[in-house]
Amino acid sequence: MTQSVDRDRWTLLADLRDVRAQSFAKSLRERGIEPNLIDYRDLLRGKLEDLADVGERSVLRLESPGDAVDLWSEITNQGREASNGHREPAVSPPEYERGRLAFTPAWYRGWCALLERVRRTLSDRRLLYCAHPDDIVFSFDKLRSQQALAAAGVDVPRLLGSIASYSELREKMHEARLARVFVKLRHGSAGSGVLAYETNGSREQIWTTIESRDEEGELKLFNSLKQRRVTDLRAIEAIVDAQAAYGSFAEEWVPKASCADKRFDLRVLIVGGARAHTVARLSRSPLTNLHLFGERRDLSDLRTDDATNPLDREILDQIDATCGRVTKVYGKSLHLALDIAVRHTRRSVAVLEVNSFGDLIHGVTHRGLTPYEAQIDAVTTFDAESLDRYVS
Amino acid sequence: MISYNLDRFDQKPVADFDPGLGIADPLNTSYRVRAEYEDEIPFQDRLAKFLSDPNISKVNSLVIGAWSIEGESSESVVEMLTAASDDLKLEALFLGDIVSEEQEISWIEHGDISPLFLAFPDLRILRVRGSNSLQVGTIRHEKLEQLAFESGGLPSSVWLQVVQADLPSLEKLELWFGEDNYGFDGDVADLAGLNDETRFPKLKELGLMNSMVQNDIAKWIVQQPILARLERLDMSMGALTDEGAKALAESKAFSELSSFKIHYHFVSDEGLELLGKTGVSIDAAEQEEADEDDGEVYYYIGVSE
Repeated sequence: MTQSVDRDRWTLLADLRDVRAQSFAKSLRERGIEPNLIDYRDLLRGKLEDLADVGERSVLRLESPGDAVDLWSEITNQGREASNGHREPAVSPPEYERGRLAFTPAWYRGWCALLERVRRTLSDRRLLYCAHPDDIVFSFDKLRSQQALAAAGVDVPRLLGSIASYSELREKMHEARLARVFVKLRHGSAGSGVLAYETNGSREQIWTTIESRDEEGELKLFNSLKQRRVTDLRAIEAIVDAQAAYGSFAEEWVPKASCADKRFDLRVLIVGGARAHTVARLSRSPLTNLHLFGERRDLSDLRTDDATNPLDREILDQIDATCGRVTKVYGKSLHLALDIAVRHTRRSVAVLEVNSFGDLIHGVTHRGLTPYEAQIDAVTTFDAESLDRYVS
Repeated sequence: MISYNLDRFDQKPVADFDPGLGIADPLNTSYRVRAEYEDEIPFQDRLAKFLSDPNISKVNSLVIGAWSIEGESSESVVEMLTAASDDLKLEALFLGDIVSEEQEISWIEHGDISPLFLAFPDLRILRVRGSNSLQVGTIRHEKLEQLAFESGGLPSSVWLQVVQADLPSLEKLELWFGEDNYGFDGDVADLAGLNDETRFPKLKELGLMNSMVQNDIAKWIVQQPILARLERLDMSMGALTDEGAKALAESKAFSELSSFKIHYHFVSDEGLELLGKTGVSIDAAEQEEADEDDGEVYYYIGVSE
């Protein structure tokens, strides 16, 4: 018989300047819990001794590294040092520029290396993980993640695999007999660096938040919050090629269901294996998952027009079954976030991506609890056996 | 943007054809055949299965949804339907119940659909969405009551054939003109063929819609004899502003319409008041505002893309 989890001992490993860490710590304090706080910056400087304070069988919450420029740069630098001569788009200090797409392979390697250090240092602690480093690493390789989900019987968009160039994209679309695809950064997050590509043989266009600037012969990509449509062939080719240099992959453009004359997808939070907060994000343009600050709707209010047809029980059951299958792949984490599309037929769903840090949603509660409170509540109230599933 | 697939067609609920179930209720259902993402059955196999169903001769209305997820034209659909016309006695056909998330309207590819008019002499309703490469031939049909071409840019090669058609039973006509970026061309004055009472003796309901030149259409139609014969006029989805509304409101023939519809328009409250004073029943949902940028004013029509 193992001893049970110390439910009141929490560590937040985070960018402590970021709103996420601050508001999670606040939620803990409201429950009378004073968390142990560790900043990623210290770990990046090699101060692993901070991790010594993480008590055995305590609770660890790793946070998103956020978007602080210094953190991005340092992670990228460390990843580049481990790059073994891979060709990399040059993104590092001092030339790091605000808004520049930072989800590069070097950043990803640096991030994985950091998580690996954490995992190794803490491997004997028997911790309860909100998000386990293994699952985080996995969720930051979107292509591998989608492939694993498909293998586990989860409905995902048809995958065309990694894309090295515009011409490979066209070839793979031709082989797959698809006229519309999404091309995503393999190591990106949410809507960052995504483009929707369509053709009908004679015409082509993309919708994207990627902005490209040609500076002294180098095409630099930036992420903007504004979507734009590109119809010029050479511009399309250049953007797809530049995106591919960051590592991209393509998948079928799943036609999404609409509500109030806008497309929507669902952000679904899972806590302890069960679906919790579920919100629909509505958009007039093809990219629905830009950010969580656009128009949102409750699951119970996804009508085809103002009068009829909310999502029916059958679809909700499918969403729940899908969550169940995903948690088998991402089994080490107490919490997960999924982006799920309901197909326009409203008869089936597809998982668009898994996000380990998808719980920053303001103003949404489930059974009276915010996403942060729901996780704290789960740790406080679950029976020992249920909690033990997330201890490793 | 077209968000929703049809719920009803020809006054019957629409149901997707399930090859596993076959045609179970042909009299009370408008079946829709479309490429489905949920399984691997290609559209052509699906339609072939539908057309060879023992109940096919009882089917009279049909909805064709997305026939291709790779951008192919409707040509093979038309061929398959016409080849089955010994058994299939179509009275109502929707060719292209395709929403924006499947394919934008101006990306839908067609071919020559004129064989449909010959193969289905009982056709009462024909509605076609999308107009790329669309050919309609010389249109002559005894029984057709409703005809609609939905487009983000309707070429004159299509709409000129329509206004020169011979449709003695036609009661309702809808043309979505769209914008020139997506294929619209021609001169509004050439719509004059619609005035010919011998070719359109029963036309009561006219939709001249989704046009960038909606004001020109308004100013044109108030001069036309056809307006006096109409009961309902629909000018929805276009760039109609007070300029066009004023022309309509000042027209005697307009004031004798029973209803006027502009779902999506740019008419001001004052313009709507003018229209209201005519006594015509006005349906003016979705009042839009033009975009202004650097002193330039931009109008967007309902569906183009």
